[in-house]
Amino acid sequence: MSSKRIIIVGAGPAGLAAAGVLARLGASVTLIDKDPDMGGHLSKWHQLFPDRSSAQILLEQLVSEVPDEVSRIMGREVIGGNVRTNQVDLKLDEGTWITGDGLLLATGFDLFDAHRKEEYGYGIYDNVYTQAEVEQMFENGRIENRSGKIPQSIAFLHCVGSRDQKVGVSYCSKVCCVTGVKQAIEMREKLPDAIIYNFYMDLRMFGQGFEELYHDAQEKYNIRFIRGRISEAAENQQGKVIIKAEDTLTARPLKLTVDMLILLCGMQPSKHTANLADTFGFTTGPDGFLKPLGPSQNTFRTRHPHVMLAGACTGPATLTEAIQAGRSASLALYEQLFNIIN
Amino acid sequence: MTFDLFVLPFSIGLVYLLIVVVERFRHWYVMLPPAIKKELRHRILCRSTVNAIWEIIREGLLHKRLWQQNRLLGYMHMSFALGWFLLIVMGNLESRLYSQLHVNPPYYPIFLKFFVHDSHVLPFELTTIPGFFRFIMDFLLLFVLSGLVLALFKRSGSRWFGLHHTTKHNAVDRIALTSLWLIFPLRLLAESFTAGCFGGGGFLTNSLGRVLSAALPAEHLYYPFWWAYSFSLGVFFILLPYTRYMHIPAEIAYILLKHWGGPKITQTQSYYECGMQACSRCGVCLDYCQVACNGNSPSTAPAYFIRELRAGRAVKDITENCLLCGRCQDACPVGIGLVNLRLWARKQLTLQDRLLNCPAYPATAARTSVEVVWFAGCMTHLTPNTIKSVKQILQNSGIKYQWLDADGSICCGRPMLMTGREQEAMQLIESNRKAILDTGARILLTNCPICYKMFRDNYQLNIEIVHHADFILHLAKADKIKLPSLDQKLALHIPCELDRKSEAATALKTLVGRLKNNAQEIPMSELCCGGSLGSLGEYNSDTKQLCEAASKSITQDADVTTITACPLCKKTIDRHSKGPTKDIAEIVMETEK
Repeated sequence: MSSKRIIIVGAGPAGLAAAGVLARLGASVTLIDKDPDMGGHLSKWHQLFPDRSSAQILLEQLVSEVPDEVSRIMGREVIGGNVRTNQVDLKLDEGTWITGDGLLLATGFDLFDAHRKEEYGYGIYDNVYTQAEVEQMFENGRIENRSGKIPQSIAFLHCVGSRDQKVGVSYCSKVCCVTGVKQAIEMREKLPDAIIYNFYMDLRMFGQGFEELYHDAQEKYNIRFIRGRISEAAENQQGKVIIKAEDTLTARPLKLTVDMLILLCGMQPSKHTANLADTFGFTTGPDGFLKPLGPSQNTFRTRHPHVMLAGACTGPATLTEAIQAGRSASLALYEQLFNIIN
Repeated sequence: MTFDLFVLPFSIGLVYLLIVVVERFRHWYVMLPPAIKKELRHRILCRSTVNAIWEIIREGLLHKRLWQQNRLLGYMHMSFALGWFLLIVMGNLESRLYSQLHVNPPYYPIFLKFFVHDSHVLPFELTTIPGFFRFIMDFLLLFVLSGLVLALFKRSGSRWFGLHHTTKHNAVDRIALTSLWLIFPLRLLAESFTAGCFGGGGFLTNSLGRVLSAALPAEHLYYPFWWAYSFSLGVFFILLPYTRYMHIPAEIAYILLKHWGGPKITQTQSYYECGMQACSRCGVCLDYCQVACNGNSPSTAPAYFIRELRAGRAVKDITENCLLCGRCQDACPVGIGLVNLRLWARKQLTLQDRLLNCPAYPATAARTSVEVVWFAGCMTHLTPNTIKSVKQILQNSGIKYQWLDADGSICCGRPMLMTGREQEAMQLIESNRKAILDTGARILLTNCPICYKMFRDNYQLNIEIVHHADFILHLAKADKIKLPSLDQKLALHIPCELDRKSEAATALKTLVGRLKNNAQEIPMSELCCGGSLGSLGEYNSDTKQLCEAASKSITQDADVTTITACPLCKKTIDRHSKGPTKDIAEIVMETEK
């Protein structure tokens, strides 16, 4: 049996999981990523919800499951190509072409660009951060603001660029709720005396262990949850952030000053995903994510039998879902290419 | 012989029409508040009357604004209005030659050719007065008929008339339209058959009469045609008050009210009702209404909106989803105050509602002897980059200023006004007005066109109100601020609320022109961004469509920076355009760093 060549674009959790499965099944796998390192967003994360396990350990496991025979093309972006019957040709940004019998896209998501919600002052005020930057702080073990001070009051704001028609995003990014709760708890552990707020519309604790984490945050970790979106933020002369919101449970306007405002940004299709959709004419949904053939069945299939989708390039996904999707999509692709079915 | 039964349909129609029109005019007059009635009586003997008459001639007969829109369209309307008007005037003069009376029954000049068969003078012979009249009457009839031909052609070829969309009519309108269109061909045939039998007529009716009488039994036909002619006139007159043709008398009344009523007339019930009737449904507004063209609601365009109003149906959707961008008003050939008309309709919708609890958040301003009081506005609080830049500009200029809404946003009241809630708006106005005047500042600066318009039109502040584009331009002219010279590609979006013809809008254009170091033309859009506060519908796909169309009209490229001078436009455009969007203040300050 001649080996089939499979190209996987994206070496995040979904891509890594897929590469491991397909290589072990005997396919000849090429893994491409625009970043020099593997892991995608996972490589920039400190701890994972809900069990607070280490992101780095998980990443090491995923990487170690990818056999050495898998050829890795890191720091290269796919900029063009053709999808033909039974063959895929991809052009890389350095000008070379690679050819495969099958393609698996795991190009993931970008964090919503917080600059677009100008009213929150990201990039304008010194002490407005995103959850990704906070994860880096945890990783570095130092929680301090731009002027090097330890914050005494911190506000997390949920749903930034998520369920917000005013920025053209009507969908829910689903992981930010629990991320905000997890990060608030981590903050409490580092800063026992700080006041920590979570401003939310509603908290969607859908996954196993999420709701328990939320209860712990309130009961054990003294996190203050305020139902209401922040309407605008300003900066005072000490560089503190003044936030205005409405506590919708008491129906009162609210104005408070915090040392740090952390924006829990939603997911949007990565630039790379959008470019590939344009180049290859893949169908996208109204949210801009790649659209697989079916919502329950065929969630990784495209109209090309030998091209599969996996992970957050098809829509907001948890880490668990991305890894599962990577594995499932690889099996589907394997079945397709090795004529296991039909 | 100066009477025949066939004049009855016309005469009855005319009398009916006169009664109805006089009654409507009386109604509009009676409804005016006493102060305006006084003003009106006072102005009748002033220059206003001359101006009003000139406007009636210019717009009612010559249709200057329509000519500017499109020559064919202008000619078509002019041929009907001016042609018919002159036919009546000349017909009256002509009839006096024959009757030798000062007063004739009104039908006499209309049906003169039936009563008088003057065959002594040949066509084209202008040496005698009757010959002149016969020439001129035929000429005018031909003039009107040429307009009719164009009107028929316009049904299918509206693009030639500069219109992409034309109005769709209802049943009563169609009957009136048919009777109007029949009037002139029937007159031509009646006069021609009569000329064919008895001689007379001018170059047109005489010649046509001879041809027709050679082929057809003219002696049996001319009489039925006079009946038909009279009948079509009668039907048209009776239907007129209930159709769009009411605009003919109403436009005259509207122009008179405008010139006689003083500045407060625009807020009176009579003015709204008269304006509503003055719409000829010509369809010019259809192409200017973005909601109709780029959105999903064609009936939002004023022509249809007014039709619903006239029919007594205050339709909520189309009253509320208007952007109040004012483009239709700028284009309206009759000069109807369409924005105020929509607001008036909104007010009717909210009148039965309870007063909203609308607490004012007053600014606490002590008299600090500043020169400038700066009001950022609530939308600007959502664009902190703009706040930062305006603050820097003020600081760099060395002018003593006070920031009135530094503590947080204060509402200028315009959103309330735009929803038709005048009383609530007045509460906010009063509280803000006091705060502004308490600062003792000479200049009120705002970087929000929405606030700017509100301060200018509704606050009666008696201090200078300046939009920041104008302010920056003045500072630059006085060398208090150095304008950058930019290489990047720019496009300019003019905010609707700035009023396209205002000083501030002109200043914005000039200022942006000065930013370029090369002579390259900056594409400019005066379309609404789609995010207007004026539209009361929720944020929806319509907004997206409108904004994308507006953005596309100036740029499609990601490397073009769209400049605007309104926080709301900025936020809306930023959502939907490919390139970055910046406020003029940001552009000016960004490059200074």
